[in-house]
Amino acid sequence: MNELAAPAPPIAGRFTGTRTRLFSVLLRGYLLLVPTLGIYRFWLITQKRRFFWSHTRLGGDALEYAGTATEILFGFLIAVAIFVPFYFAFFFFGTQTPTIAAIGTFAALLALFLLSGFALFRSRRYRLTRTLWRGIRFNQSGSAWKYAFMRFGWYLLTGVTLGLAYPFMAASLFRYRYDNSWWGDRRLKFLGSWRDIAGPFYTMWGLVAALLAAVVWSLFSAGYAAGLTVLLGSLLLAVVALLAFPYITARERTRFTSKLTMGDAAIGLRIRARWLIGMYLVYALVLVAATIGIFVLVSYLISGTVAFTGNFDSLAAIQRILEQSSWLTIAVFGAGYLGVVGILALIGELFLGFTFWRIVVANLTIANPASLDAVRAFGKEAPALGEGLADALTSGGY
Amino acid sequence: MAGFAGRFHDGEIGRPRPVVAEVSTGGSGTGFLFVRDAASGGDVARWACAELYSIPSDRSSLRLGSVNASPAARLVVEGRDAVAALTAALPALGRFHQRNRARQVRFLVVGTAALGVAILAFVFGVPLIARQVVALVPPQWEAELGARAAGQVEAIFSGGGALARCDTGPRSPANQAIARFVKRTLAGAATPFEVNVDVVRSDIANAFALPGGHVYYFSALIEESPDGDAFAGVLAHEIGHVVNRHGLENAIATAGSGLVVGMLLGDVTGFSVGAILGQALINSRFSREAEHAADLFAIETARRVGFDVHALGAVLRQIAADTGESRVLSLLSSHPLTEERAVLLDASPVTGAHAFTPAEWRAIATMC
Repeated sequence: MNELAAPAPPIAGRFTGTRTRLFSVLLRGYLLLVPTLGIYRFWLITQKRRFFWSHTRLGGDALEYAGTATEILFGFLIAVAIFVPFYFAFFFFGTQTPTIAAIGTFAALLALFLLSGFALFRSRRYRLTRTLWRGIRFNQSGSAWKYAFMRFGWYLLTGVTLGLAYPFMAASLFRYRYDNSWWGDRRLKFLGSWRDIAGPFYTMWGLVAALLAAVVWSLFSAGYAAGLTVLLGSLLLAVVALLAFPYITARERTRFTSKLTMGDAAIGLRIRARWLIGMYLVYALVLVAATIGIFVLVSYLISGTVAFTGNFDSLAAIQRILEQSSWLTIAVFGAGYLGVVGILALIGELFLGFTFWRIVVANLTIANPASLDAVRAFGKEAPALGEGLADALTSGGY
Repeated sequence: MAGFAGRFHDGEIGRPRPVVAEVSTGGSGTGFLFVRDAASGGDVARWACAELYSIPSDRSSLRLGSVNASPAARLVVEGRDAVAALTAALPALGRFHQRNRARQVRFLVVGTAALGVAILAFVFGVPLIARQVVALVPPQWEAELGARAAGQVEAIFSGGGALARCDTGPRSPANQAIARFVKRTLAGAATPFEVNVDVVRSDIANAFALPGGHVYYFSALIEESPDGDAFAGVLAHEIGHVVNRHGLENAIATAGSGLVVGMLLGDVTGFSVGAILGQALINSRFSREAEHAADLFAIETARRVGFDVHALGAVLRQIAADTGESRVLSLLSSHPLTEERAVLLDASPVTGAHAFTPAEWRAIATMC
């Protein structure tokens, strides 16, 4: 405002990737998983990230993903070593009396949940240190254990308070993540607080609670029109609860991210709830279409089998074929199972992961970008070995 | 040669620099890539073509780095035509790309082979290791494990209430007949365990042994048995599991197989369907060996005690027919009836004697 010349216009994010391109990357990767006994997944993750990063442009400069598959592979091997004790703990508790088994398994699951916070923070550090923009690396400081315990405590508190503590938790964890994020020697700073999402969150919370109370109340009052009220109330409750998630996600992302600064540069993001609702609707539609498609295909194969064997008792026909060659049949079943799992994963990647990333990137801005020109490189490539734990917990994400 | 317009990041400072890049090919492939400032024309960088590498990016841009520059220094050229022309002018890039690709493929092949070997070693090695580990476990520990397992089994099969045991009187003719048969069976076997048989009312035709010697025999299986020798054959088979400590062996092998499948699928928690299926498939191999050993024990017992073990084959066959068990499922199930088992039992010698007197078998058959 007190600058001499007119400040440079904000730079905007632009996503140039297409769903078709991602589809070909994923399809090739999924197919290669089979002959490599699953090891290819480390290459697939790397290629997927290269796709997202290299098509993400901020002010004309694309992000660069500098991670390699071998790094994540070695990280995974180390994570496996960390998991072995847990594995034997679960096994040991399984052999104990039901009470000890229940307590022991619960304790081990809690420890695993604590560990997952550690893993998430470490894997974020790995991704940031492997991300370059304008030839400068991102980085993350802070302690993964501290984050893990914070997250653990906040989740506990949020559970105990039936979700009422959520805005405090979200703001606290977001602050820890982003206040410890760096681009070169420039530290990010979160200026927001729980108040930024208190309005949307407590409105939805109150709405859901009121509807729930109304439904429960009419369930127990033997009134004349109680049945209809319960039905309508439950329907309304389901719709509100389903809409609450994208609504709160959109508000939280928008308001929290827009309170991030990098020195004098300010980050802005605008995500509308209806975009996310549209994303979930499209995903649901594709999922339904795929389910119908798989069903039709399987029926067609069965009827083809019947025609081939000339037997109209299709179950007996299938059984006869099953009995002809058992190993072959197991292979067919296995391939069918993997195929279905693969198709479901593919739909999720293409219509949730892709869409969400594009929404975020396309609506990102950085105001006063000239402030970024002076940023200098800082920090090393750490950690050296992948994000192991997160992969072992199958919480890899992008 | 005309220059390529691009952006240069020196890897030190955040401000991008508009540049023009030119390739000068020297003799015998020793060319240089000259990067000059777009505005002033001043030298920004001079990279030897042989030391260049490209970073994977989208198809309409080419990102170049040099092994002799800062690891984050980049020259970025945009536009498909420019990318194609610059790539053509830098043949060393293609060679770098090929070398890198070959290295990745080699790594992938070696990794896959190592994993395959590990899986094979596991499939064939774990039953052996489990047997060694079992030999180290004190029988007392196994008996305690069995007692806890019995508690879990009773909770599962009784649906919360007490298990419906048939004829609980230890001095009843049926229980005495069973105890006498168990004693004769164990007489020839060196085992620290006491075998304890519970006949339980259930619609499921099954019998199984827990570690430490607790055998459960379900009433539906007695109804399927044509004579006392069929009952005796099944019982001898289950005692064979106890004597060979298969329950413990199986538990140890299962723990190991869960671990390797978890590593394979990247799901160490083992909760996914794939992990469960994979584990079942690997374990089936182990359980088939155990069934074979228990059959051998039953045949040996039949020879020693004197009864007709062919009846065991008949009753197994009948159960398989009743449940419509196909060969596919038997590969996956824990109690498979395979052709080998049937052939083995059919080929055993006929003794002509019987395990129980007609009166004893009548008592057992009417226990429930």
